[in-house]
Amino acid sequence: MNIGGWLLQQVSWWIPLLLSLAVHEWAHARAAASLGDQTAASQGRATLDPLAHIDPLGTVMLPLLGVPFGWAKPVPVNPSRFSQAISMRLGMVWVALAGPLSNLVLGLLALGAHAVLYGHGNRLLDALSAMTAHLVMLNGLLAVFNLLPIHPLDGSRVVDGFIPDSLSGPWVAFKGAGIIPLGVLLLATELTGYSMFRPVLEWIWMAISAVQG
Amino acid sequence: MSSGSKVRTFAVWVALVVVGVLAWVALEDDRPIDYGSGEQLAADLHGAEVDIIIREDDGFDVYLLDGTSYSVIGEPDPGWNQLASSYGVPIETADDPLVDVAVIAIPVILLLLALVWFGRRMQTRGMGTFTEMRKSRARLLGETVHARFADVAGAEEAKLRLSDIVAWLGEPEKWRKAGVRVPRGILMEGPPGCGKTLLARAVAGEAGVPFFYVSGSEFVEMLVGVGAARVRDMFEEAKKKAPAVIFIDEIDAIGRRRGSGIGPSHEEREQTLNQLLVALDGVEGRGGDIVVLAATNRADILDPALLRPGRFDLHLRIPALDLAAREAALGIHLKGRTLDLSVNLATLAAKTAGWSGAELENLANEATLLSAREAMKTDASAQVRVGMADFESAIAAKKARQPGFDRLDAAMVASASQLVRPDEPIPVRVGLVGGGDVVGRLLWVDAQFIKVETSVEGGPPEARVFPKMQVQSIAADGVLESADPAASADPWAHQTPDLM
Repeated sequence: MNIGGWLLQQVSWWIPLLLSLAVHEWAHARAAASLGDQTAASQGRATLDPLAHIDPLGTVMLPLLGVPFGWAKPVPVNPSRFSQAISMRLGMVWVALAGPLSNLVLGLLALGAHAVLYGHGNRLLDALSAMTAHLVMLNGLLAVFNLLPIHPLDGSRVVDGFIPDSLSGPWVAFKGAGIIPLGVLLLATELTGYSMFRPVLEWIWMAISAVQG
Repeated sequence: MSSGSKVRTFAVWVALVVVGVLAWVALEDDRPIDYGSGEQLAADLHGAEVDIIIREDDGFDVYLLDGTSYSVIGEPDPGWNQLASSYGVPIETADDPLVDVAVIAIPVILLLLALVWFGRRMQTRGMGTFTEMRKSRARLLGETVHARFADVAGAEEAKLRLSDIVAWLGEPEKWRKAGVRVPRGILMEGPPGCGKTLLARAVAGEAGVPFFYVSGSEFVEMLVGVGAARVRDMFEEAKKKAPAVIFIDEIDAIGRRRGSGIGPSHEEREQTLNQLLVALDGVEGRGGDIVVLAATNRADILDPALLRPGRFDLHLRIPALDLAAREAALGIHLKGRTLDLSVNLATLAAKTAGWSGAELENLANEATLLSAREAMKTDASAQVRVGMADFESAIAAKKARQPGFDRLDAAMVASASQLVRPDEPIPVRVGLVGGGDVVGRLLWVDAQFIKVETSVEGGPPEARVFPKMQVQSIAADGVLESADPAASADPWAHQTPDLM
């Protein structure tokens, strides 16, 4: 591999990642604002501007170092400022779901764009179609990964909303372990080489090759 | 979201996409898109159609003589490279040594940058603020202080003593040659608002030396050692500007008698005090011509070590203003204002018995404000003339606000049980601020406090709560005598030590 290829690999994955994370955090902030909580909006987070959501370590360092994992600055949510129309529990579920849902929508849009842009033999269109393909893969993965019911991820907030009282004890204990379960999962994925995301990636690939016709 | 940030967001997205496309166009490797098999490669080699073979990480790129190309993934038939060399087809490697360097170097550089960045943040958060904390908060009020002794009314004796200090600050060498040891510290003691701060400024102003102002409470911090460090820092600063005047206002905040309390905050206060004592000892010894002035209205609770000769060895009592001083003070504060002919300062001074200099300054200001408000009503450009009526109403307004009494001398009750559970109005005798007393009535009592209502003649009824401690003893005739005033003077005297 030459140096250009390496740089290209970094850029062609990092830029779609930046955009996807911005959409994800924007969706959280918008969802909270729609329920009446302006906390994130007042901190300037209800924006699609990626620069507002960048975390220096999680968004810049780690992905550029080649670590297949990253995060953006979390959006602050204050459920006590939700409107009376919705319970705080359900409101938090909706705000948590908004992020992965936005990635699903963005992934589908990118899939459509990829179908249009692919295969014209034009270098500019080829570049755009490659970036849309990367967008599809990243957003599919982000949507699935964030829905995992493990503590800092959005999926755990959904569980928070629906956990029955009888199970809340073990659930709180599980959350009390902090990021350790997630770290173990990611490390195990890395060490065993068996990725639970491989089936997901295969579906995404199937979708992409289907639209490529 | 404002339209400006919308534009910015749009610009960022466009810029990122453009960078991505440009990077792709510029850097996209021109490796073949088609894939071939090992058998195909062997067939092409046998057919002498291969121009060149390039070794890649994941396999080989085969370029044919007719201009087409394909990639072979993985390691095909093991004998293929002998085959290739037997046909004279060159095999080159595409590996750029720069990649090996970049893949290692760029992440390492990023990591180092991150470390530097985090380190800097730590520093500004931790160490930076800590060293900042140890800095003295004494403020240097300019090389030239404009206050003069003439601006201070009354306190004639204090002015006389302080003028010696002024003379010494002017030419310390001359006085030292004459063998005079001037006081290192001067403690000014007096009721609130009697002009202690103004006097200190006037010393610096008359001598024309820098004036460092600090409040005793500014040395007090939870962190042990910070207060002491600030004392050191303040004296270092002052020494650089010597001769200079340091003024410590409300010195009782740090100068309270040592050993009167338990707990870390007391320890910190005592360390600060110790440092102050040492600094006072060293002022002359280390060649700094510095005079330390301190002010308090609680000289009784100061540590004896502060008061011994060599530290604050000159005590000046600044008394409450007497009649002549009040007249002088009013004259000073009304300087530059147009007075009506009806205004008689001597009469005003007589009407303001017990007022402090600060209160007189306030009176002058209030009266001017009243007359100005009146003048503005009719004509905005009218000249403001302060009349006697303005002073009268300002005095009346202040007296209405002022509590008529602040001291409970005795409570007269029929029996001691009345103080525990009164069943009828109980008359009490109440001492007035300006002397004299008046009878009021007891509103309620509980375990620690009693509430008394009274009305000074002409004024509205006032109610105040007193600690029961002040009316401890009951005389045989049913009169509750006031407790020892000295005992109740120091509110700390009765306080149980705070255990932390």
